[in-house]
Amino acid sequence: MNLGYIPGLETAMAAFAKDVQGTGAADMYGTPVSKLPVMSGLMTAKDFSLIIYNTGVDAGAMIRQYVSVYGNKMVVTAGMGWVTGLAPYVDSGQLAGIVPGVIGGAEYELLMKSPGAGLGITDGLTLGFLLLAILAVVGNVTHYSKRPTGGVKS
Amino acid sequence: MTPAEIFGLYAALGLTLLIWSYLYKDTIFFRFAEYTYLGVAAGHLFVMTAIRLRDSVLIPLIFKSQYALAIPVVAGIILYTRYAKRTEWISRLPVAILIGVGTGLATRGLIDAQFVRQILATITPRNPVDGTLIAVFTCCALAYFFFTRQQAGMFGKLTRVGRAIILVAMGATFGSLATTRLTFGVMRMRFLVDAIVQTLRLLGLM
Repeated sequence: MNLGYIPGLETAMAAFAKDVQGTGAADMYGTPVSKLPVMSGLMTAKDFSLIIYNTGVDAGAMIRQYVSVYGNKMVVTAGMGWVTGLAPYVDSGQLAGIVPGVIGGAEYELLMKSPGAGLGITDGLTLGFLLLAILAVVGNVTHYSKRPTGGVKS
Repeated sequence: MTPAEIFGLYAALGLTLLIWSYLYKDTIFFRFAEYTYLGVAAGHLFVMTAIRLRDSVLIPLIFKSQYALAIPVVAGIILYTRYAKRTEWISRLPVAILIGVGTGLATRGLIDAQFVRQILATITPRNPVDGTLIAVFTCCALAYFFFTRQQAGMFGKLTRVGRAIILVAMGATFGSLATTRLTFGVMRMRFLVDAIVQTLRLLGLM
């Protein structure tokens, strides 16, 4: 089920949490949410037993509006760039877990014994890291080998 | 593959190559792809917002007699008064409401999510080693931002440790971001390989 785009960012998140059926009135095909069996009984965020939040940006707004206000259990799948910012939320128990970027996706595929795109991309990523490491070493060696030794006395 | 899928595949392939022309230099091809992206994104956002406005506000307001929805509509229209010097001040009212509602909503969960729970997690760690390190490093990092006292002597040493800890944290974030960008690059290369395979299949060579 896809409820489409609900504009308003954090305001929309808060509105959806407070009134699921009213804010997400219909799915992307125009079917009223109240007529979808999967949505029966889901009135507020309190009725969700687990939220899996897939994001390419920060998860702070979702944690503020759902975990703090309604006490929801939440798992976040986020890009690697956000993992360091999200880790404190796991330590504090606000997040049940993080799937960190494509590496986390690959680990999940292995765990589920269902190899897919994540593992393929991770192979390429590993080669990329290797290339970066080689370039870093070459760059440093070049830099220090050309470094002037001693100065001109005035 | 349907004709629409074939068009989508080659449009994406062409735009990817146009963007990558930047690796050579800032070319007209890169500019074309960049402006196309911005135009499509702006158009998409406009259409999505217009549809949402029609379904959630205009139809209920006009055909379902939900007159309370007129308040945000009027507030939205008032925002445009800022384009005339004489009426510019009126636009501050809806802006004030927007900022007030946004700040109020964020603050409701913010105190718990980003202050109380984080402080509790810092002072009640899962194991003693982690706890000691977190406590010491947190104090050192905070000490670095105390500018009302000269950073010299023992306090100066604490602030230097704090600065090192902040740099390590920023380095970790930078590394994570570099991984993200590298992932995007690998995904695009994978897409190119898939596009070549699809082309060979379309030509009956595979």
